[in-house]
Amino acid sequence: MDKNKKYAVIIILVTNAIIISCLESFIPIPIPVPGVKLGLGNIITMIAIVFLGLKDVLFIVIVRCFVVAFLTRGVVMLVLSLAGGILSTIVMWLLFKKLSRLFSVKGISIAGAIVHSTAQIMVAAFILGQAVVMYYLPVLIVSSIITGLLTGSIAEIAIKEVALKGVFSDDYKPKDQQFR
Amino acid sequence: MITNQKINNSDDLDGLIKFILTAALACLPFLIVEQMNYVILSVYLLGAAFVLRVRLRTLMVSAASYSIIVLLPYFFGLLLSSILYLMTDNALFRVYQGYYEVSLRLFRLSVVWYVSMLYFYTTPIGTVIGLLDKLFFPLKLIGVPVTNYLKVVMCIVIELKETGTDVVKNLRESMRSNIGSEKKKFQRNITGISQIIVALIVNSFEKLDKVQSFVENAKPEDLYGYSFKITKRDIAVIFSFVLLTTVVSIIENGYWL
Repeated sequence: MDKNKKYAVIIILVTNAIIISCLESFIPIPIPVPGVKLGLGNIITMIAIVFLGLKDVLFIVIVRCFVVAFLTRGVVMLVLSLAGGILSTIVMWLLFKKLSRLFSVKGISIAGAIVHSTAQIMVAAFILGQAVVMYYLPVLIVSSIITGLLTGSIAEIAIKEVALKGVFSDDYKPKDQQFR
Repeated sequence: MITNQKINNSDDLDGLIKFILTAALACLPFLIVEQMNYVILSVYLLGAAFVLRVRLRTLMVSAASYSIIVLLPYFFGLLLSSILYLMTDNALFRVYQGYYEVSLRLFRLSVVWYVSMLYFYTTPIGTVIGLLDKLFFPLKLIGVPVTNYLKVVMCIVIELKETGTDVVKNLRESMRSNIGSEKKKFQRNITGISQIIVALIVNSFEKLDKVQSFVENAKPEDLYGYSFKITKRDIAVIFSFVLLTTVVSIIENGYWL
């Protein structure tokens, strides 16, 4: 894929990830748990894992964390997001590339959500210098299984649609240019 | 649609001076031990938010985020650990750190959280990226395409500013009508929401050519930039910081007694 096209794809994916994350508050969670988010942005990471290389996926995740930190949160949240995002991406990429016969997209998404929560809580424990925050991990893991299943289900549909459109193929033309 | 607009508006304080002061303020609570200094630092930081015209809502949202992300898991763990210790009398569940030390650590972390939030909230993104472009200069020398990466970041910010608000607004409307009645089952809601999200992702690639052409033609200097400038306001802020550190140092050394 041409360098500029790749950058354009990355811009679109990261923008989508941030926009989708903004919509989370509108989705009712049956049992809301403080500190638990649906992690809809993970749908974009899953799409990137399927269609792009590890380097590009990591770039998408890192850029997303930085842009969100610039726009809203700050440094502490950036550290937590980066730790969770990078580790979960590497695990999901490995599962998809090496063990895709054993794991479906939903399974990979659940694994990614668990790794994301675990990495974040471990970094929080390190920053606080207190292992007691680890007691919150079981709560987060149970929530991660539910949210991972949910985002995995949506990601599965999205991946099929994106594959049908052939967006990531070199000869892809947007709809309005297909008949010219 | 993305437009080639310069986001780096005129800023009150110089980005680099503000960055150095932010870093110094984030380090300060780790260097002090006197309780009076924590009070002085807190007052100074609240004053900084007032001078920088940060909205109260922003501060409240940030405080809520800190409580949910840091305090809640911590107090949950502390509570559970104490209960387990009381029930089993097992030393494994004993929390060895004193409450003063814990409060101190939480305060220090909250200062880092707060000052970084103030910095990002009050500094135009074009200035931050321009500053990063200069700070990452050594990476450019070893061949890392830093400028390209920062250009991508800036394009994302522009795209979000240009279309993000409208897209989110439209999607929220779609979601409201989709979620609508509370009688609908969760499963049905999720199916509807997934259709909206999938449509957003798939349709967003319609503008791939437009974005690609923008990336090709956009020059980094049109997107972001930083040049050092010092104003009276910068001098006043530096003076206030020197005053703060002097007072803090006097109290730390016990000269005021």
